[in-house]
Amino acid sequence: MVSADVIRDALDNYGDAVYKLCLIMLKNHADAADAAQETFITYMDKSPLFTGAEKEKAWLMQVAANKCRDMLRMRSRRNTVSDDILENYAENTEEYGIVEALTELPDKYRIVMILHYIEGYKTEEIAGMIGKTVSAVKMRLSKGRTMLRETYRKEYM
Amino acid sequence: MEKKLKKSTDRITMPAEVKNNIMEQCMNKARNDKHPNEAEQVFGVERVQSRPIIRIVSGIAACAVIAGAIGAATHFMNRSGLPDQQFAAPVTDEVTSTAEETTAAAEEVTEAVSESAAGVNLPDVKAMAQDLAAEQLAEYGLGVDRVYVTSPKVPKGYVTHTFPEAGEVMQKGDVVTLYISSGESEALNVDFAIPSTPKQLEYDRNPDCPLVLTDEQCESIVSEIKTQVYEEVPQEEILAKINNVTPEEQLGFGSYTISWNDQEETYSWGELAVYDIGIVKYEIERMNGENELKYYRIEPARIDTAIRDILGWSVGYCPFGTPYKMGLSYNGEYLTGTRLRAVSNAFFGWNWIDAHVVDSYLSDTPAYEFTSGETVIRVYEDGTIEWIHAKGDPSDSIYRVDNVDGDQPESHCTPICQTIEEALNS
Repeated sequence: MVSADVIRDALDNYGDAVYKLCLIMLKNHADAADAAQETFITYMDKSPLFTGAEKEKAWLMQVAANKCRDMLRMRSRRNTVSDDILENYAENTEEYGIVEALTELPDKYRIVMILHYIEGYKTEEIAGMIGKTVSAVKMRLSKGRTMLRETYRKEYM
Repeated sequence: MEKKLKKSTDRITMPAEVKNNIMEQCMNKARNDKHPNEAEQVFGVERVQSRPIIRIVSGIAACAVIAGAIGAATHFMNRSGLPDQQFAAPVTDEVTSTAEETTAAAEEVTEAVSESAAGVNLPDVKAMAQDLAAEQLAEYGLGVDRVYVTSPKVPKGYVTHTFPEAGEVMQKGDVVTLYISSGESEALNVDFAIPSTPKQLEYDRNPDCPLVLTDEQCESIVSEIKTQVYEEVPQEEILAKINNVTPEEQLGFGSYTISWNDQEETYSWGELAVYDIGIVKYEIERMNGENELKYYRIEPARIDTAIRDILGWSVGYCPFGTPYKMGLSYNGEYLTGTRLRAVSNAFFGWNWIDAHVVDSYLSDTPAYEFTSGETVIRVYEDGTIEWIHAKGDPSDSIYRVDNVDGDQPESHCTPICQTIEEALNS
């Protein structure tokens, strides 16, 4: 089991990225906090070894994405509604609209958009993280871009 | 717009209370794992009077139980020789070795199983005769459920695998599913619905060399997979393995993946992947939200050899299909023969897998513009290739092939342009 210091470092370095992913995926503070917490507890349990900081972050993002997916699946079974909380973070209407439009994309498109455009991962890296082929990731990014623009135009312009 | 996404989300940070809470949870967990019995502290002590007669009776009873256990162990040890007798008639080398492994495995089970208050670690009964496996498990209070499956290499009546897998912690009374070979190796004759649109094949051991499969190659590979898969694997079994990471990560990062993006027939994306550990994944994802996902077991070495035989590694790859098959026009002229082949090869000759999909191109006007049905392919001098589908296809993409790091090209005329120029003049 990794030490508390390792967890503290990981929280300091990647806590924001993990939480951001969870919040955009789940649109709910409590669920995002739970998913982030489970991610770091999993890290403690599994104590994976990494060859570099980037690998560590990628692993955490991957686990967080899976936690979110599980919670969304559970939520769809329970018909739970998410909160509209992202406006607290936006500086202006445009920013709010863009993030809001992003959260309205289907999960599979949203996750690749977050990993590519917000976290800066390459398509090959995302393919490895979500277990799809590079061409599938490129297709999802392409479709995600189109849907994001359409949603934004339709609802916020 | 997507470029603004990063800035728009920059202000989202993990609240301090969430961070503190996570840290606190982790510290608690570390403490509990270090002292797991902390909760069972004794808060009071009661002195009881010693009763010698009870001690003596208990001692005799304990001796009787130990003697009985030794007798039962000898009985089962003798029975573990049975598989050799079962294979005495028509034996092959493989079967003999399986029988030997079985005997050895049966002996090891007793040592491998550890029992604790928390439960029993499921022993490995793979490759063991079904009755012997059931007996071994019964000794640890575990029930069995038998499922008969075809298997190309495990002899009839022997356990191919179990669910859950060996090592899992089980409680007394739990039921283990024993998958038992029916001795047949017939194919399942699975019907993979694969459209006739171009298929790409990615090979993990050589990620820089993805291929566009010809129809013949694809048909041959799919037919090999169809005839070799011998058992469907329940998704729960795969999910049980994966826990917190994606299935593909746990299965080993693939081996061969055939994928397609069919916008014409079924409007779907899909892939058929053969993983190193002997699992085939078939997944279809339709635009209307319907998904189909199935896993099958396959003999990995056999399918690997078959695929290698079929491929020969001589084909190129291009993300927008096979230009010479789609037909190409340049400046209103329909390309044929050598020119068509040469231009098609020019598109194939690039390492597309490393090309960036970009949002805009640097040059104003394309150096070359090709049309292929309703698709337009534009090649710019900065090394960007734009692929536009008239229907507003979601696969529309702009690829930057020459300067993959996004730097400005050093020369005005980049190699992709030169290659195409040469191809057009051929």
